[in-house]
Amino acid sequence: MIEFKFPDLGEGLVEGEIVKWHVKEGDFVKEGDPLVDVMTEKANVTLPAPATGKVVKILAKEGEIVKVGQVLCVIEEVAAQEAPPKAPAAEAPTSQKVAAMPAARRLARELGIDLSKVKGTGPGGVITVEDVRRAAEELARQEKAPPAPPPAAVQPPPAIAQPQAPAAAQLPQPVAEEERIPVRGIRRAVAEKMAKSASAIPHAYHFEEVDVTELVSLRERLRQEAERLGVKLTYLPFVAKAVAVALREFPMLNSSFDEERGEIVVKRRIHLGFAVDTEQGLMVVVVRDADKKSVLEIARELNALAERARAGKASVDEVRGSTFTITNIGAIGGVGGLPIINYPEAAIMALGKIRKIPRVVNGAVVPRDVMNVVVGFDHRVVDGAYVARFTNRVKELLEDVGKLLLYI
Amino acid sequence: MKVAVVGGGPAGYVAAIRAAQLGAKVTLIEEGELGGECTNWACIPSKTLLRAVEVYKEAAEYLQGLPKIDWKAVQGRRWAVVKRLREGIEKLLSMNEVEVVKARAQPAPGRAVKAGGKVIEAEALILATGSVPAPLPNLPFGGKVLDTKSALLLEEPPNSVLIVGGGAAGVELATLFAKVGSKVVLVEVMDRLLPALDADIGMTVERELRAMGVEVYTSSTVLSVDDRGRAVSARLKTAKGEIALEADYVVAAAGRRPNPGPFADLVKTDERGHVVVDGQMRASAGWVYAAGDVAGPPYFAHKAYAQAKIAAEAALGRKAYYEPLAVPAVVFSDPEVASVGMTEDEARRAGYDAKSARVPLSISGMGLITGGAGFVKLVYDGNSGRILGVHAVGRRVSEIAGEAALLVEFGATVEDLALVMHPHPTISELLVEAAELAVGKPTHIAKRGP
Repeated sequence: MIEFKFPDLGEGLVEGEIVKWHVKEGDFVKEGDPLVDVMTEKANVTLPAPATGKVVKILAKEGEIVKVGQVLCVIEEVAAQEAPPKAPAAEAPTSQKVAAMPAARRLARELGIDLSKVKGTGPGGVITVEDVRRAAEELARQEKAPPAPPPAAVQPPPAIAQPQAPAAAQLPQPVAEEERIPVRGIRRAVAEKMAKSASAIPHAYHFEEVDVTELVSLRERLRQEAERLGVKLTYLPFVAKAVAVALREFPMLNSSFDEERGEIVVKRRIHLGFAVDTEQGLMVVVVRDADKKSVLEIARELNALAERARAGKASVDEVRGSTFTITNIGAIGGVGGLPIINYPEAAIMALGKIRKIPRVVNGAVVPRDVMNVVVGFDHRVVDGAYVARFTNRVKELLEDVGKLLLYI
Repeated sequence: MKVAVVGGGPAGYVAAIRAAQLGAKVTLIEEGELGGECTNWACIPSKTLLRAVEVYKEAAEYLQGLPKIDWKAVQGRRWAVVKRLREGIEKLLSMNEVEVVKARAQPAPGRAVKAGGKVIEAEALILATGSVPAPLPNLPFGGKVLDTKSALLLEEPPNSVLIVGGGAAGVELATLFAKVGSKVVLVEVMDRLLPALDADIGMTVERELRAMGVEVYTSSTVLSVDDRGRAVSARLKTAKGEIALEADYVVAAAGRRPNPGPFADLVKTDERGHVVVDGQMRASAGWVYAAGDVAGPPYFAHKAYAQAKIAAEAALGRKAYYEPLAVPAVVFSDPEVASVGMTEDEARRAGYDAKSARVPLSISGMGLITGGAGFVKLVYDGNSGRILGVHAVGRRVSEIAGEAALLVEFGATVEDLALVMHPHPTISELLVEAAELAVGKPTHIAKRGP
């Protein structure tokens, strides 16, 4: 018997969420076969079977949060040759023991009804479409009904309590006016992290406008060169480079606040996080040591990371360990926003979209390319003046973009 | 909502139609022929040829001196059937206002696909790129070593053929060529033919193939093949030792592999290359869906149809899930095979009080009329009487697979089935007979013993 424990995946990771089991109890697995999908921080990891054998017991349900070292399942080892080939029926759903008509199964999915809790009235107890409808109505009724009084409370006399129930039952109950979606996986990771950040960190914000006219023309000139090297070059890598350079000079923004020990932990290495919009939700991919990389290297790495994140293929290491995060709101639209800090970092920068708008230059109104930046910071760590100076430095490097050359 | 579908086979064209029915603007990209492998090169051609040789072989029983089969005419009918079906698909797509792009597709940056020099933007992408024949390690395709598609394209039936692989494709090819008089040798690595199905089925099919003159070697492998131009000599490792033989052709019918092509970079794939999908056929990149062979075995067109509809519905925001209780399998050997739902063994492992009731074809009128061997077996739960599977072998049993799927999907019990009148004389009556046996009151089988 092998107790398969949730392995330590590195970097102080302590827990994960069971997203999906690839096997059922009683199934045979081959060593290396996908066993279970676990969501850690923000990456999905498929854990392979540690040995060939029979899955005797599954100890962590889908949706459950598990700690490193916790036993996930028990496998009874067998010699490789004894394992029978996986039967085709193994693909059949686990709901097989519930007898329900195909149309009833479909309706149950649409209404979010758990068939194992529905009483079937068809021949031999088979669940029909009507049974599913009835169950959905019952559920809607229960949700509308006031919560049951706590057991300690004085029960009202039955004579008064009784008329209420039939009255409620007679009301026509519309089915599924609202839908309840379990918060799982990345959505849950985002939700928890945002709540923690918003409640633990006193956020303050600094706004600035950056004239990127020069950057726009520079990037236009470099784009083809980059394309020849197989890299799609956007503005973001330039901003990232400028931020990385500025962070070297303003290290307090590359830090985190340790509440327990009352210390500010200043990070020596600059790992930039980039918010990526994926189908499953927000993910932050990490370009390590961004200050030591060229704009081209940052661009190449960022493109690859974003693609892997969108495909659900990002590894744990690729989505954790950032020290400062950039969120490019403007890529989708919007001139600015108030980002929530990527906990436990000390600051975050949001970029607005680049717009061509009139600005006064040398006394004349001329069209300029302008981008808003918003820096959100942990006011426990630094004060507004420090952030203003940091932002000025980023602005300077982006407006007089030739200066960036010194750091490449 | 814009949907791009890559692949025009059973999964692709059905996904396109369903997405269009739900109001999407659909572009379907296909580099070959619409209808894909099934319509053009596999299921439909092979069944057309098998039907022809069935008629030919049966006619032999009533003719004095058998004329030579006109293989050109047989192939002519095959092309006529294929063409008609393909044109039907074209028509259906155009009536559903699906734009068809005839080109090879590849992923483009963002949510888009590149094909035929243009970039097709889409909010959802459905991959239906199917599968391709997988060569055996020591048996690369080429020369006299054919894949199943090429075997069906031969201008004349071979005098002799070595078929490697005793699954559905190999068994059907063996049946086809044996009936037109080819000397057929069939080799299977497992200990029986059709190893994925109920053991009784494989044994019956093997016996009948042998009776037809096919040399069957189970638990055997091909050691080497020497293509000498006009013929091939091969060495087999069999249970009884090594043997050498010669044949006009070798057909490698031992499997297929998924064909995600350049789209493999876009999504997670399993160790064999299938796109990994969830219950809604959604791939790891949330805007990408997959259906059919590329989404995993079994490689059946009807499974592709079912998954394609789910993928299209899910892509358009419907809460559709692929969760069949029964995926029917049919094999057009002689006798035919139908296998639906769980085998007795699978039912036991799933925790049922697994029971089975089996009746031979020979107790029924139609069974005797069509001739040949066979049986119908019901697998059911002893506690509830629920029918969990139907496994049959015999002429025409492919036609009862649909009813069998209905029984399983509807959760019918053996009592229900025993009470439903079935037309006489048909093969379907055997389902009722098996159900009656299950409830202890068979009409056409006498109780043995005291």
